[in-house]
Amino acid sequence: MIQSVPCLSVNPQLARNCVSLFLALNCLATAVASELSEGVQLHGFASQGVVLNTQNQFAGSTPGGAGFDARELGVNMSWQAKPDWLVSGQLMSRWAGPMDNGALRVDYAFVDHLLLGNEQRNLGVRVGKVKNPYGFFNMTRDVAHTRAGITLPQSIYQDQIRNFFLAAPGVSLYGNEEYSADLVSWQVSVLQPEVNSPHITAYVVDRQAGHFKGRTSMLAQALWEQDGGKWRAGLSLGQFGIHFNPAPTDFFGMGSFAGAGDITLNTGVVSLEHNREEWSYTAEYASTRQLRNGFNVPFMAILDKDTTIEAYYLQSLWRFAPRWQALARYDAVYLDKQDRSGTVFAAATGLPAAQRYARDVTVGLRYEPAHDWSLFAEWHHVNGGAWLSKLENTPASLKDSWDMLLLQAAWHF
Amino acid sequence: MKLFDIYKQIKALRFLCAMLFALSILPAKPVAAAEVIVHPGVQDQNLTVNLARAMFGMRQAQWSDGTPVRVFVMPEQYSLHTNFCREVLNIYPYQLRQSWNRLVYSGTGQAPIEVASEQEMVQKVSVTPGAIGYINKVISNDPVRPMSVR
Repeated sequence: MIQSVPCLSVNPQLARNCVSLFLALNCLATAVASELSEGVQLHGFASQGVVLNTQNQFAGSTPGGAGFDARELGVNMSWQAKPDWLVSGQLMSRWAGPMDNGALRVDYAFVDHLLLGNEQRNLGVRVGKVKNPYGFFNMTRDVAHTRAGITLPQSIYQDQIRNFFLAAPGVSLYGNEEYSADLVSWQVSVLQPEVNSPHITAYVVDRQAGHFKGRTSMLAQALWEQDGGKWRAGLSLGQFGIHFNPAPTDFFGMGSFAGAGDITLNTGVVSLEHNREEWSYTAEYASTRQLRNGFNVPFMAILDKDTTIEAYYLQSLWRFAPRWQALARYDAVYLDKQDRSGTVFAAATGLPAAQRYARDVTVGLRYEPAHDWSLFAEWHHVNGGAWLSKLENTPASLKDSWDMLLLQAAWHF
Repeated sequence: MKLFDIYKQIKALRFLCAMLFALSILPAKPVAAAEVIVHPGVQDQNLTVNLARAMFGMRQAQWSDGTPVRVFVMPEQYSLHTNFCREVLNIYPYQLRQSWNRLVYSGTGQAPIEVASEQEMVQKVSVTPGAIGYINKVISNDPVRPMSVR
């Protein structure tokens, strides 16, 4: 469990901080339950994972060894000042090897005002940093007990570009429509994506020196639920724009080879879920058209190539005994729909074809020893490395076929 | 000898079938009831299943007269909660928990207030204006009002 995190042998100070924070949260949670006073609630979560890989690296693991640097901590507070006013915010910290360093950040912070509310219809507005509704799971992707397994399907919910999709400052209009046995909920947001992260730079322009800035973007989602959620379906549509500012050339003539490029992502996710007493089946399909221009790197024409990223997964969950759950999932992503095998890419760039696709078969188990604890174990067999971070996996070391075992303990209040 | 073995096996199978049949016609376990209760000051007389789902799903913030809705629930492992979800709301308990989690950890809503016993449920609902909850059976001197859900 969290208290005995051997991980933290990597950094004993960090270990002590984590354990203290966890114990403090635990005491706090026990003391206050979740309702501090009328309308004020406090909730939080903590998780610690162990990663074992045969090849390649994920979240701080090394091939053949165990990585203990996968950790999530978060605490949120909400205040329902009046039935039509809600203020909420969440602080969180996440570790994932070189992909995330545990820096404390504001996950969301916004004011929600219900403009119209009656039995049939709700209509409201949210202003501030709001979580992006993208697919079924993006809004709560860092909270272990809301996920079916330890990792979300990486095809659609890629960790290396998570900041891009996670949450963004902006304004959202949202609503619910209640019909006789159906519920339709929707949200439309105008936002400024937060994209200045080295992972996104590595993912998008392959280690060129410079940084990205978000342009005004749009995201919309509609969800339909039939008969209390026996069937759920969703459509998420977004247009995200980012602009690359190359690093200026220094005294020695070093800088970025790339020009001031622009990328526009036109993205859509179709989601479908069927829930039964013991079984849940989920499928999502995402297509993202990437429009690139202005990078003008003579030896990397790929940086200005428009491509369509295709991603999908099929998942089934079986609640086979009280407190127990089994997971099976097939998850696939192709960074260029026209070149699924990556061979055209490999021929043009000399980089491994495996960077361009990933097919992941996952099986997992979950046990809940208490209502606020979850223990997970899951095994992945993967072909390809499209969703592996380039900061952890150099092109020369990337292997096509690899296996990964993940273990995780998670707690929430 | 061989024939005798087959005969024994058929007998065993017949016995098994008879047992299974007997089990299947045994009277079903009586289904425990769950009744929705509200604060006596709540004006609304009845709820549709959909509206009850919206209230316990933390999507409906107000009663028809504008009073804020305050939702009380039992822990998920209690059979009363399970019965309430299945019989009154016609959903599975895990679905309700997932909806609360989506609201609580994205900041778009709040969780209901958990109570540890039926006595505490009755006590909290009786003193909290706009409160809604559920118990096994309302008795005549309970300081709460039953609410029919159809």
